[in-house]
Amino acid sequence: MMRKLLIVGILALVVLAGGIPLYLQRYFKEEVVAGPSVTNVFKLSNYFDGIKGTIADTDVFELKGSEEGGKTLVIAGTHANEPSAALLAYFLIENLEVEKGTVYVIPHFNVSGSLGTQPGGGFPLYFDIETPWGEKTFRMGDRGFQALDQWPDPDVYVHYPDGQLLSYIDARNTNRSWPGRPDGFLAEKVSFAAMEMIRNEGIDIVIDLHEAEAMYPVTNCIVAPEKSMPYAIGASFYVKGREKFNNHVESSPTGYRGLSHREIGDWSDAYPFLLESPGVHLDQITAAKTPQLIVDGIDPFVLQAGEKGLLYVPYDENGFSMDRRVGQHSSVIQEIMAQWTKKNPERGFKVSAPRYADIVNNGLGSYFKDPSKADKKDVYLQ
Amino acid sequence: MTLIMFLYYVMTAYVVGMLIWNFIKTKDIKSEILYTLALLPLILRLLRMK
Repeated sequence: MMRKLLIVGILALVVLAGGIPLYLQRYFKEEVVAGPSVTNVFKLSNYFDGIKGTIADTDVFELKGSEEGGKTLVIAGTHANEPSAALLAYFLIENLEVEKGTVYVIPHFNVSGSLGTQPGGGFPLYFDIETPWGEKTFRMGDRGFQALDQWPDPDVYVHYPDGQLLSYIDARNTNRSWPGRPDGFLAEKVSFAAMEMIRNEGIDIVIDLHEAEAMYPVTNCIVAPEKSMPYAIGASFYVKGREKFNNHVESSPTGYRGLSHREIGDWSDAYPFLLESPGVHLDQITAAKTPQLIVDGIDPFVLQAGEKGLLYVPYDENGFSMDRRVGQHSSVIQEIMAQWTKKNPERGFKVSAPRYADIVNNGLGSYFKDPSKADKKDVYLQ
Repeated sequence: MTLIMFLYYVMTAYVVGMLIWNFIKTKDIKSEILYTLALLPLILRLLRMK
């Protein structure tokens, strides 16, 4: 009897020691301070009440200029293990100035995915960004919906409406769930809600933010379908010529279904773009997955892979920092809108935010506002 | 929570119950440890921790 009690005691200790940090992470809130251009914050379920009150619902920040113009939707957190996306969203919410047009920002498109890390992936639960007022803490997330929220997985995920057979795990992937459907998996429902927003609001540009491995060919790039291609190429040329960083263009495949850069363009009048920055913490070959690796992007094994010509991005001992990744996203987004404005002046934009060089030189943290000093009504918990 | 998801939680609770029952009944220490290890992820799921 004593032996059984001892074993039960050890089990309880393991459950508590392992489970409590996971529980706390699931309820940890990130803070964002609404900047001067934020005019409204509402729920995505305004466009589809099938996600109302569920973990699939999420906040949408509206930044509206005084002059009428086009509409851009920036989607971050599709894959919550690619954190430069959410950080760029927070950066835009706090710093983007909009004079003409409207920019909508979703920091956590897949809220569920942001509430826990990949099982067995060895990722830290949090990472910090240095700011002038202290460290700002963010949750590390996972690629898809948590199994806690969407369970069980099917044997095979059948994409709607194409019928293409995809991996079972992609049933929880909000970048295989487009254009979504109102009675599907939660991942399909949140994509359907976003499609309803895009169609009902008449969104012109949709930008889906991601990170990818340095050893994966589709990284450090803009993925665009045929109709978005001229704007993507213009933005790519501009940032290479003026801002001195590479961000090549990849063509969105027509035969691979469920991806934002394909389905949003096919199922609405919007012009979709998917941005990839190199997040080496995603590479399988790295040393320990530490918070520092996520922030600095410095890894000796990735460096060795680079010396052997196995990477698809330029990589040296300085790594690929969060500042660079967020900086690239900021510049490319602004440049896509600038290219769009040149060809569609009546639906154009006048926006500004610090760009690549500013963020790399000053540090991303210097652009985050201190929530403890902000007006409480401007602080939003995510 | 969908009906299928709810049923999976019910199935998990059932399996947890069976494992606890077998843990109590067995006299073999290896089986006790085995049942305990099998219980760990199921308890984390039932408590909605992971």
